[in-house]
Amino acid sequence: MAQYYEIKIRGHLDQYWSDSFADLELTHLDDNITLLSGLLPDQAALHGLLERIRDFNLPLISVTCGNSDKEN
Amino acid sequence: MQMAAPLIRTKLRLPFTRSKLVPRPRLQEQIMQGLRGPLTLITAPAGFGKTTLIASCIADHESQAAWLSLDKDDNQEGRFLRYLIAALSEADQEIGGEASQLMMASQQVPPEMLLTSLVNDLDATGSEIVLVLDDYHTISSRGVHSAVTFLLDHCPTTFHLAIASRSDPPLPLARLRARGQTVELRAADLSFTEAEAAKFLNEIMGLHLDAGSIAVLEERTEGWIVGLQMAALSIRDRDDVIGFIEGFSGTNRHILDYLLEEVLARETEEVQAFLFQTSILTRLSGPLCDAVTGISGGQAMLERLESRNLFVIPLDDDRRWYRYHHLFADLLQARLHRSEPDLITKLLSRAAGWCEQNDLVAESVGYALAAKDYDMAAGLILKYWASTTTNGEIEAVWSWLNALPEETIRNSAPLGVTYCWMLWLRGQVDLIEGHLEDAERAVSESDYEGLGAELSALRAFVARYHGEYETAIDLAGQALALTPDASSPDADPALLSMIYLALASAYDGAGDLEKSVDAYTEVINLSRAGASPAGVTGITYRLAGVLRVLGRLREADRACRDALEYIEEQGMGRLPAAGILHLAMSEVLVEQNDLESAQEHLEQGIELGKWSGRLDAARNAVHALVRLKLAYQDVAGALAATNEAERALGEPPSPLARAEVLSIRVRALIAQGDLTGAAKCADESMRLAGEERGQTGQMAALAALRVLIAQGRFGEAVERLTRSIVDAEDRGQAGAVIEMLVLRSLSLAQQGDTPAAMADLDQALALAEPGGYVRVFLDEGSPVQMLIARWLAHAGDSPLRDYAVDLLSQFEAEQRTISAAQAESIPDGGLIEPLSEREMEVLHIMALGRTNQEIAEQLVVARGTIKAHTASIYRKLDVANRTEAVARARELGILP
Repeated sequence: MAQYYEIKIRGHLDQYWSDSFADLELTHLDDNITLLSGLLPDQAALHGLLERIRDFNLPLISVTCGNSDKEN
Repeated sequence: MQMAAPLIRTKLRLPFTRSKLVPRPRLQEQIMQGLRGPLTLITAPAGFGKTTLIASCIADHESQAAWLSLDKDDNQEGRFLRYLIAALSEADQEIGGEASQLMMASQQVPPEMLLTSLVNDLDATGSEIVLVLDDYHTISSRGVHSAVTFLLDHCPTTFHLAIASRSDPPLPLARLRARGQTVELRAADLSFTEAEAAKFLNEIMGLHLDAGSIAVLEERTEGWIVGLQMAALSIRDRDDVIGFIEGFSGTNRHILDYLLEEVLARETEEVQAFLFQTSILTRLSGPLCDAVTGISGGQAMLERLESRNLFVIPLDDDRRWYRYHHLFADLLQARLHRSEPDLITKLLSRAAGWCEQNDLVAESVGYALAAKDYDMAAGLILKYWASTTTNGEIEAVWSWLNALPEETIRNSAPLGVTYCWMLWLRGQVDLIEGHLEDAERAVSESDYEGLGAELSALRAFVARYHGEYETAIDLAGQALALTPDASSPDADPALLSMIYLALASAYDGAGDLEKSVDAYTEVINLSRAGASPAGVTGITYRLAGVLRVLGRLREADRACRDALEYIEEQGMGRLPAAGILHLAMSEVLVEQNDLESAQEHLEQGIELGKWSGRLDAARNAVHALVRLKLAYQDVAGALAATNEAERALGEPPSPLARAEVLSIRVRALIAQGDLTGAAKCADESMRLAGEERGQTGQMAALAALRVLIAQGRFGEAVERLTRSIVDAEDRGQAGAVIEMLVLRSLSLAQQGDTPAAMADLDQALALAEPGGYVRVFLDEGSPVQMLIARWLAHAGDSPLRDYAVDLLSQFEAEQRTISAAQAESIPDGGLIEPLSEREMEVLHIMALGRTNQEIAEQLVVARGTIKAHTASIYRKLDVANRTEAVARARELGILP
């Protein structure tokens, strides 16, 4: 089941990163935070994405699931 | 002996470190301390200099060092072990000799066996050795984790493991930490301090920055080394250094984005294009880069990048292979993905093409699959699957096939057939059927006529699996007709041996045992000719069984001894696959009443079989074991062996295998006096054997007859035996006829028809004498002993006289030795295998809390020997360490 996720990373990432992160939407928030948001097909996709975040040494701040009006 | 696929030697190389490095005495000291203990763990994200740090320490370290750079392909356990062995033997030639021989000889060596062999070698050399596993985060396979855990648990104190990883490895770290034996370095330890940053920027990178600028850079990068390196590359040759530093510290942009742009902006377009296009390669060489970029000069470019510190790392001395710093390559790829997504596919396909031409098959398939160029990948797989599986990389081929879309396989005739063969090789016969239909449809829609023989052979296996023996024989015959025979220059020995195997087992099932002997022999000859010794062992077990039923015991004996000798010559004597040969031998020896030798072979067979991690040994050993135990009047032991064998059948159990186990259980139940249980068991065995008319069917039928006799229903028994004897005679199954005649003779004597009983016995002796059958008489006990004595009294100068006299003397010898033998231990098919005398000694001293060294001194042997004994004790007791071993031994009453 696809779920809506919001993932926060410290630092402002360029837009091209979206491709590396399962095409999630990439938004720059205040406080020097990048928000990745969108639907991920399953847990495996989430873990793959978290692994990518680790591999680029991007400081992970939070991962939340659901709680959005975007969720269907 | 099979040739193993070539290793990528660069994985085993200590990585090059730049000649000028920032000295980091505090970290080096910690690592040196770690390298005196069992485990050093360096966990930090990419770009913190993990590899550089450990490599520089290793280069300065006095003891031998083995290096292994891991990647995600190493998640195949077999491949990981192959590299592990290679890495250790590269460091010390005395390590891994046996293990690599075992691996070359067979694909099915259990990891534990290889690891034990390595541990023994490590112990035997006695010299200090360090093993570094770099990039351990690429490993997700449980098998690999448990292999590493095994090493940590069992290695001698001279062995030191260092692991570099981006995340904490799932090893039992808490346990090691609790013992205070682990040195850990983490991101916070690895970050450059301000002083180190200053040294790096000014001394190594040749900049002239003031303390203030350095502090800003250090703070902005948080001491992240790759960040500082990129900053340095951005600064060099720049006039406005202050402006750059201000811009860098003033932006919220992620430092990777900011710096990569700065670094690239300082390179020419030519260099930029090269970097992007080659970023997709896992490793780079000049010619490969030329093929991928379509421009010559790759080698010069790589050398230039290296001299400019542009994140390219040489992998060998002569600068043939390089790789990018992983993080750098990932960054470039991510950008390339956004700017030119279509180009990536083209680049990968070109890489695949070049690798194929240069015999880098696995890398070639990997690139083709990454390119999603499934036509190309399929072509490569079809071309190389056979050689790759022969090289022992079944799981690699399996992963390639499963990386293809299902439709690609379903719509391709040759791929479908390959898929079915892989299912067969992986023992998944029940799954073949569905895929066969797809393959057949695809074949009929294409013009792949050559595949007909393979399809028929596969169909024959499936039919045999379902008990449709006649169909299986027909299909195997069709397959033979469709393929060139062994004498033809176009012969395909691998395919032929598969077809003969299908044929042999189908004939076996149909009860046409003469023909199955011929076909089994053909398989053995083809396997020997095709140098695949592993094919010889299991087949010899079946062949020997069939020969015994045919009354050709001496040939069975010969076949087992030949095969054992051959396997020994091939250096496979210690492999689990050899275990079944010892079991075959033990069955022959039991029949010859050489119980002592039978027991030795049983012990070896069970011992070797247990390595396989499967319980097949318990199942295949049960026939000889039960007869042996009953000969020693150990009824409880016989029953226990059949229980164990039943558990070993797996889920769901194969009906025929279960029928065989139940038929032998009948003997034990009768000996116990449980006739109701025996009757039930025999019925079930008959039901399961169904239409089988070979070994299994005979065993089940004889079990049912034994029950009748035990129940005193002699008339019925005689009637049925008479029919069975005619039937078995028709099929030439003299070995089965002997047993039936003995049983009928017994029944007739009970009915008071002595002349008929004598006639049966006479015929049984005549059939048994040439093969030297003994146990078939002895198993029936004193009633048969009396019959033989009686026969002898009237034998006159019968040529069988000497044979009968010998049988009688063996009856008498048996009664004398039973009581003595009962005291001795008999191998137990059960969970607990008896410890040897030496192992008991070691265990006793171990219980006193002595170290291996102390035990070795006390017993006056090498410490390596003790290590081997303890490993064996652990395995037999199914424990992981000495504390558990002593506890378990007390529980079992082995220790007081």
